[in-house]
Amino acid sequence: MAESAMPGRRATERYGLSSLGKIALGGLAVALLFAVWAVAFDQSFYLRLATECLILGGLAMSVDLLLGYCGLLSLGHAMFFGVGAYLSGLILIHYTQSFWLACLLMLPAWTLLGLVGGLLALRSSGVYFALITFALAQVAAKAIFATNEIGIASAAGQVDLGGSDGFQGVPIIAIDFLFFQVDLRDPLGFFLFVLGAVVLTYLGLSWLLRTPFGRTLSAMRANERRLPHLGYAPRRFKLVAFTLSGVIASFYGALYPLLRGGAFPELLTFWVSGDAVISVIIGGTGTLVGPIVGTILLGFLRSLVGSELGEYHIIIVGVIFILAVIFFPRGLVGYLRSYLDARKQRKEDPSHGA
Amino acid sequence: MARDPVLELSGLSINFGALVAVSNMEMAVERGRITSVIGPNGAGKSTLFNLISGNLRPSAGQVILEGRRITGRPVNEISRLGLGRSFQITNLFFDLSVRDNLLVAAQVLEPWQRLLRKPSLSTAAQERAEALLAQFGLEAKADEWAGHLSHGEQRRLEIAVSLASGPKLLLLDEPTQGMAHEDTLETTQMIRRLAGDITILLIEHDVGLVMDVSDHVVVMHLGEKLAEGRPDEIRSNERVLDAYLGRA
Repeated sequence: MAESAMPGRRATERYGLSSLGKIALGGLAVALLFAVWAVAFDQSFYLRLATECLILGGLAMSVDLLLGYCGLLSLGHAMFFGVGAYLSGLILIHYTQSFWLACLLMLPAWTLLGLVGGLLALRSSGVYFALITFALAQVAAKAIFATNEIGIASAAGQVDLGGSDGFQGVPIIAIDFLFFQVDLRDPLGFFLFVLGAVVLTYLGLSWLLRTPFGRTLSAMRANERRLPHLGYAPRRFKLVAFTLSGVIASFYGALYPLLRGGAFPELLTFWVSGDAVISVIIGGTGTLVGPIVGTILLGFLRSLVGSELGEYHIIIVGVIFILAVIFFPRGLVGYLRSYLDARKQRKEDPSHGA
Repeated sequence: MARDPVLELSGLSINFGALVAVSNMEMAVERGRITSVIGPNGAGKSTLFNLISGNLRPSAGQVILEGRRITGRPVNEISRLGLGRSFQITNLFFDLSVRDNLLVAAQVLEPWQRLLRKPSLSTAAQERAEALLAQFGLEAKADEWAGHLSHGEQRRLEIAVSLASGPKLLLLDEPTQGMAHEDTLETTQMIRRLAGDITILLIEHDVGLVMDVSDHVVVMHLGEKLAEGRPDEIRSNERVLDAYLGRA
């Protein structure tokens, strides 16, 4: 308990931007500078890589909502991500090329998947919760892997999931906003669009976590057994958080085929779930910004080292993860936040500075 | 007997295997009063609390709160029906601020839609939390982590949190446990002032404190009710003297 309560840090933010807010703003500035650099030097490879990192970062944020704010370790968020990717790929190929209409159609499916997954996994807690989420995702991955053709009635007739190969051929669309259009053919447009989504997700979640609902989640993480004595049913709060987390993961999954032109069974495998968890921990659990930072680090590492070492880069990721957990359990953003908090407190109250 | 009971226990029993922890408890708690349960270690006092608050299911008997049978209902439902409790071992949200500890408890009274209210809006729950901060002398500590408070302050916060969810009946499990002497006196007076608006059922180890503060005392011994009555009656009760208080 006392370990997560950071010494010297006031429990309540008095006024102004929180340290996390500042870090988020800094991150946004870096992202925009990066975009300017990438455009100026025509680095569309890095722009697309960064876009992929942001998409996976959205997934990691949804994992952090559970791990950092509800104390729930999900090892199966790839299920939401992957199903989100398959659904959006199929809908864009067979039904509509309007992104918003597709989202509207998918939202009930995302919600239902989150709700059902939550109802199943939240029957247990701790390690068993983690194992059930893991198992759910494995089952979903194997099911998709094994099917060469699943008959889904659609406007276009039979739908081919492509079995172990997945499917390609998702059209490159343009997304309509009220006054302008973002053409996803343009790497900069795509990057900015996903960046916007990540910023909105961050703002939405930080708002939610400051409401009475969010306060109850923090209380649940701090001392779940006390809550029923105050009239709360903790499982309901967990279910809401789990469903929301599933919807967010599915949404970012839905963006994936737009970038890569298809969906593959690998998207549902443990690699995706595990990487998301590793990103959260390296970046900083319970910070929302941290998962994005962690995903970007991991993504660029993979791309740089992976081209030299191939599959062996996994060993390096593993070593980094082990070192991070042992020596930097709060994660990069966690430590940065402590530093900023301490500095802020010294400024406010120099007599207590230390 | 109680004319307007908030809580009634009838034939309440529980056994853990061969051990009978609470046996055939009959008692009533009068509205607006302070009723205390005393007894030596292992008499079954905490088990009794756990039966009332729904942590344990009785093997036999009934718990009736405001005329409603609550036996075997889930803890959170019992709490919403107006039962609050504190714990012998401080049971707070240690990595939340003192104010947030109270807010979490106070906001449970609001309709669920308010859970998504703007954090800055002032609500009844916030007013209630501020009032409790003042009442329990924790205003200066409102923004501190609950885990950083002194033991005495944590014990006070423990009571305040139990009160914040607006119970009609408050069970206090050794509220002054481990407190320094002055703190104990202050807390006792605080408990005294609480009674009236709400009803209090108290477990205490410190017999002197119980006798000062209580309107009605129930003595437990080996899971059974040994005696009950006004404090002065208990002081002179032969069976209690033999079993527990000892003769002077």
